[in-house]
Formats: sequence, structure tokens, C-alpha cells
Amino acid sequence: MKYVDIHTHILYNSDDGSESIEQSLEILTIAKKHHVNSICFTPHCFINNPPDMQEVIAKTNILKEKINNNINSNINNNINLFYGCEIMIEDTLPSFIKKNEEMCLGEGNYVLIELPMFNYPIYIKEVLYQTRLKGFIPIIAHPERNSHIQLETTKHIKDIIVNGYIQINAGSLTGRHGELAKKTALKLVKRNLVSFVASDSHNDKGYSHMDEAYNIYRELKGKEKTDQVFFYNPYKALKGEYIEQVEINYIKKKQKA
Amino acid sequence: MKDRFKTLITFLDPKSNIAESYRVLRTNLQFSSVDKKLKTIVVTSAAPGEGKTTNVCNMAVTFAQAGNKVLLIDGDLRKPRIHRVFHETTEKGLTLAITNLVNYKSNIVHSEISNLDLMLSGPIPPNPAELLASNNFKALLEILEKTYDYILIDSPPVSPFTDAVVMSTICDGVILVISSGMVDKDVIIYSTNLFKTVKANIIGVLLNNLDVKSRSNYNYYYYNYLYRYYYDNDDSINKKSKRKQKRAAKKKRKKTYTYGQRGSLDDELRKKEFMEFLNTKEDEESK
Ligand SMILES: [Fe+2]
Repeated sequence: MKYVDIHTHILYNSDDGSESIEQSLEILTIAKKHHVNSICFTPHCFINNPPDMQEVIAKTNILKEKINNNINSNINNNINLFYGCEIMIEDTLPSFIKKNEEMCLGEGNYVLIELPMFNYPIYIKEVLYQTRLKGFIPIIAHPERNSHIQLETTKHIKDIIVNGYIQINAGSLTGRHGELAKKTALKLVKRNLVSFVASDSHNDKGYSHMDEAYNIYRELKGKEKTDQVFFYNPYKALKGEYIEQVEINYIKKKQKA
Repeated sequence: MKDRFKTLITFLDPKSNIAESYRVLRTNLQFSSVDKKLKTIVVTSAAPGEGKTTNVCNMAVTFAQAGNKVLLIDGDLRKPRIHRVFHETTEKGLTLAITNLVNYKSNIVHSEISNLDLMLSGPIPPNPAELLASNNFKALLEILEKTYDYILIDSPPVSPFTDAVVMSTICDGVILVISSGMVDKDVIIYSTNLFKTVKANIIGVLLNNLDVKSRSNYNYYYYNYLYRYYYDNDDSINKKSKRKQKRAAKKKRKKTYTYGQRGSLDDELRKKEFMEFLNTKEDEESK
């Protein structure tokens, strides 16, 4: 099976990920060995300190060229590269993304949004709704790593799925991010709330989890649904195509008599 | 095609008994509004899972098949489902139309069924009831009423959410879908009382999933049917419910029962119309 990876930090000198062009090329070589078909570079973006997108585009083009010409690399030329951003949630995100459309993933209108690790943004519902009203579709990156969501998954996850999609990390499924993250990730998978699995790789170790995560997922949900979240949905997101939303269930309240 | 629209029985098989009961529902609605035309109708239920969406979609198809220009709005901003029934993949819909009235037309899609247009939910707001109570929603309906003969609005169930009650105050009428034997009668009474307190016009109750075997008298209704109850004064709800309760206890049957609310027409006339309707149906059956 091939993978489409929409969440990586392997564009050199862009954030806390890859540190040199050689390292980036090396990681791409490893990715190719693990059957990664397409990769989207998503450097971290803080709204008060955003990355220079012209630079991101330029670096992506350099890597594309290197791969195509096979200079300094033994990668076959059939790995597709895209760029976008992983944006830290902020109440001003909707208007920010409207002004910076090139931060959407690939060629579409999907936005990768990161939550803080130890805080829960109470404005998340409003932000996701306003983002949708502006014509963009939010993807929440690894919610299983947020400590509040780990503790109260059902309560918080409803805020996300009404207007957004969920991306979990391959490393969460395999236990790299700890037991709680693993437990939460499995819970989300079992309830069919996950739309994407991505590597979130910062270095060459990121892709060693991909196959294991794929097998864990397939064990739980079968091949068809697994291919959906590892390949078809991410591909559609990069192309800006419609992805079927997860089923929303009514909030259970005691019926008044 | 057949696989894609499996819930739209009125579209797939217009000659079926089920489609027939939807047509009866349509004509009943036309009859029940002689003095004032019912244009905007909210369809809701007491509790979740009683079959609102399936029913509202089939109603919309039936209305459109009769040559009316119909708009079906997904007003269930808690759990929108109409896009699944019609396999629409647009992000646009009601909430975008409300927040941007000028561009309301871009939020309407034409369905594959002629005369039937759809307005899906759009992004889900954090506070649906508030949005539906806004002046913009009212203004939107006023604009739409000029273009369409009927506007059918799907909505969340009444017992957990107030959205349908909010909408009912600016719409011409409410239809309550009730799944036979599923919901406790107190919940239904609670729901109808909510509509009464805001002076909404409950134009009918649609009984869904009726167990036909245990009700031999009614078996030609097969699936569902607009059940109307007529009574002489306002206190009668309780009287009727007690009577019904006793009957239900006698037969040791399910708790659920249905009733409607007096509309604008003269009671005697309605009673007559209802009895005539019953008689003709029974005649047909005896042949
Ligand atoms: Fe990340």
C-alpha cells in the first residue's frame, strides 16, 4: 500500500524539523522506501510569527528539482511534493488564513490546525465555524496528543467533528507519543472519527512507524477503511476534493417528561 | 441510480403503497389550508431517530412530482443528513446563506429530481438556535417564499433542542414525525406543548413505522400516514390521552399514540372531511 502524508516537518531549515537539505533528501529517500507516494511539507506557523511562504515554496521547488534530476539522491522520481502549514490555533485564524491562502495543504482548501498540548482553546468551535464560513476546511492535527482531549475525549471531540476533520499521528497508534495518546487514538479509530493518519515526522525516524500503524489500523477497521485514511482522504485533501464527513451523533441529554 | 437514492422511495417507486401515502399526505396538507396557503413547513420529531429526514425528503419529492417548485432546507444544524440522502458534496448551504444574504442563490443546488432544489446545512454554527432566531433567517425565508411554492425544513428533534420550536414561530406550520411505539407519550406531549406555548401551527402528525399487523383496520396505510385527531375544546388533549391510554392498556399494546392540533378550518368540516377520507379508503380496500 502507498501512503500520502499530509503532515511533516522535513522541509529543511523551516522549523524544528530537518536541519539541512541533505537531511531532507535523506528523509525523502527513507519515505520512498516506506512506500510514501506524496508528501506535504507543513512547517509550524504561529500567527504572530508566520514562516515566509515564498521561502517555503522556493525550498519545495528546489527539492522537487533535486529529486527529478536525481542529483545527490537515489530517489525514484515518482514522489510528489506539496507544501502547506501547520497553524497553531488562535482566535484570529479565520481571517489570517483568508489572507494567506497559500498556507492551505497542497492545491486544495484544507487547513491543518494544531492545538496546544496542555490547554484546551474554548473558542475552538467558533474558530472552526468561521473558518468554514470563509470557505476553508479545518483538519485538526493529532488531537489525541492534547491532554484535555485525552481526559475527556467524548466531550471535546464533538467540538471538532461538526466542522472539521481529524488527523492522528502514526506514532500515536504505535505508542511513540505515550500510552494516553495511544489509548485516545485507538478510541477515535474505533468510533470512526479519524479521517487522516499522517507521520508528523521531524526526522528520519518518522516513517518507521508508518507500516506498523497501518497494520494496527487494518486490524481494527479492515483494509478498505485503512486505505481511506492513509491514502485516499489525504490525496483528496491535497487536491481540494470533497471528503465524506464522519457521522455526528446527537448529544445525549436527559429527555424531559 | 437505484442504489444512490435508496431512501427516496417516492422517487424510485412512485406507484408503491408508500409513495401513495405520501401523496395522501400532500393532498391533506393542501386541503387543510384553504384560507391561507402553507408555504414554509418545519418537519420535526419528539426524539432523535424517528425518521424525520427520510420523511421530509420523500415529502419534498412528492410535492415536486405534483408540479410544485419545492425547496428542501436542511435546518438540522446539529446533525445534517440531507446531503447524504441526495449524495451532494457541496460545502455550501443554509448557514452561509443566512450570514451572507446577498449571495443566497449560490447556496442552493438543483437536485436530480425536477422542480426540487436543495439548500444543505453549510458549516455548523456553535449556536444553531441563535442563528435560526436571527432576523437574517427570517429575511431569507421571505426572499425564498417568492420563488418557491413549498419550502420544507428538516430540523433537530424537539426534546433535546429548541431549534425546531424557534423555526416554527416564523414558519407557516409544523409537522411532527412520530415513530410508532418508540417514544414515551409524555415526551410527545411535552413536545407539542412547546409548540403550543409559542403559538406555532401544528398542521399534522405523521405516524411512522406503524406496526400494520396489530392494526388490521388501518393496514392500507402500510407505512405511514397523516393522522389527524379532532376535538371540541382545548382541554381535550388530556381527555383524549386518557381514553387512548385505557385503550392501549386494554390491548396491551405499545404506549405511543398520536394526535394533531386544531387548525384554522371549522371543526365540523374537518371531521366530515376526515370521515369521508376514511370511508373512501375503506371502500377501495373492500373492492
Ligand atoms: Fe506537527
